[in-house]
Amino acid sequence: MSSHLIIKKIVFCAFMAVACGLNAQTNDSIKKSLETDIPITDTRQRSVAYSIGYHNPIPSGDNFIGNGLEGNGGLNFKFQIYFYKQFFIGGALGASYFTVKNPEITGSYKKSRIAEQYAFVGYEFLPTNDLRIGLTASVVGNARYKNKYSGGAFQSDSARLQSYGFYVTYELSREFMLYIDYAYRVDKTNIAVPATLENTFRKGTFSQIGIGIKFSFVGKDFISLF
Amino acid sequence: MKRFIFIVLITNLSLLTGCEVTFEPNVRVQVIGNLVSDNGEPISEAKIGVYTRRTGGFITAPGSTGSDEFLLGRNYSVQDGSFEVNSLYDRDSDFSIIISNDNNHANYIYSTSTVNYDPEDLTFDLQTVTLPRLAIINYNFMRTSGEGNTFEFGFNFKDNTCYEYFIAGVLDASLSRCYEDRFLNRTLNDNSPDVDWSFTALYDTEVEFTYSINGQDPITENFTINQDNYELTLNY
Repeated sequence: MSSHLIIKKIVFCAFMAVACGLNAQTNDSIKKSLETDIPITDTRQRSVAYSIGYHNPIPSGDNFIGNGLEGNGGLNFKFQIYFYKQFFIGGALGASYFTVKNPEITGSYKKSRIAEQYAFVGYEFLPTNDLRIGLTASVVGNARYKNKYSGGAFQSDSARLQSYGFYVTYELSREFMLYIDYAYRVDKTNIAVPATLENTFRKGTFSQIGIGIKFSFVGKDFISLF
Repeated sequence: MKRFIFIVLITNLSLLTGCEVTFEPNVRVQVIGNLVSDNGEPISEAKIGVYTRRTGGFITAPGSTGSDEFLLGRNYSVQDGSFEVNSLYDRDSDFSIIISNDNNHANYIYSTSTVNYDPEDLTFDLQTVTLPRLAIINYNFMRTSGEGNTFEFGFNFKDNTCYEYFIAGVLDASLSRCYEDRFLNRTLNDNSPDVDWSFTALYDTEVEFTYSINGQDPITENFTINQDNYELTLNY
């Protein structure tokens, strides 16, 4: 089974878990703590969060992405499970869109869509009552490039991706937040090229600056559930 | 029965829209070489394009060949005549590299089958390609003698394109054709009494101009191309 499918399944299963089970448990714990007038020792502890966001990819570096492409928006869906206090693991699905500004470097196509999926780990800092700052790093992931012509023809490339980033969320309520985030992407491609093009195509780099909304569920971390 | 109708509909739709065209995944090739004019000077700003052909559906390719040509990579030669083209790749029996240069020099086509062949290090090294200079021959023939008079003319000259076919990197002369003889002829009459047109011919080659007025014995004039422009004006 490809890592594509594994990551997709992890994301799907975790999402279903949130939707079906953890939500009820979370509400119960809040209700219980309110009834007993015992401050939740950590009312800011979350069990699960998921987000939907828009980002703009910004090509960088001396490679086929940095020199050949121009960012043209992107969408992503992420979710994370807090497994111990503010430490979390998560999964992400998304796509970044590019127009080709320099086909002499990339080959002659018009646009490129990079579909991405990866698992990540991270830690969240809580500097104030309504802010969260998270650091994330990908563990495993891959990207598929769909390079499009105007007439519907296309060519595809693939890569293993690495993503390192941070986010800042502002809590409008316990469950609802706005966020901005930044990530630096390194895609190690599987593209076979002549020796003289190795440095250009072996990896592609770009940054992603995004905004989005995030939903979270107040509750215990994953380890504390047991 | 419903299933049968559904299958027929889907099949027809597929035929109309054509199959999805995809090129070789996860591969880039490079075309390198050097362009030199027949007088020894480097040729800069020549366009080098890498093309493949694909059979299309009825909508995407209504032409008689039933195929579409796709540009996979393109670049231009630099000041010293050298060029490097980064390109996508495709499995095709008519994978072509076309060098063209706005009527200043002859065109060159490198063609090969990539169905079962990859060039060494994914590089098509065309080495030094020598392109003859071209001259433009403008001709302007006008009828001044009145209706009913006819003028037949023809030009014999060398074609401005060299097509070379390679099999696994080795030139196959039997499938190649370079600067072949071309013949251009036309008759001017009441329907179309005048013409103002042009063609290109190779330097240091001979052009044969033959004409006949009102079916008389044809007259032939030969001239050797040794300048950039020719203006042929004739009234009959």
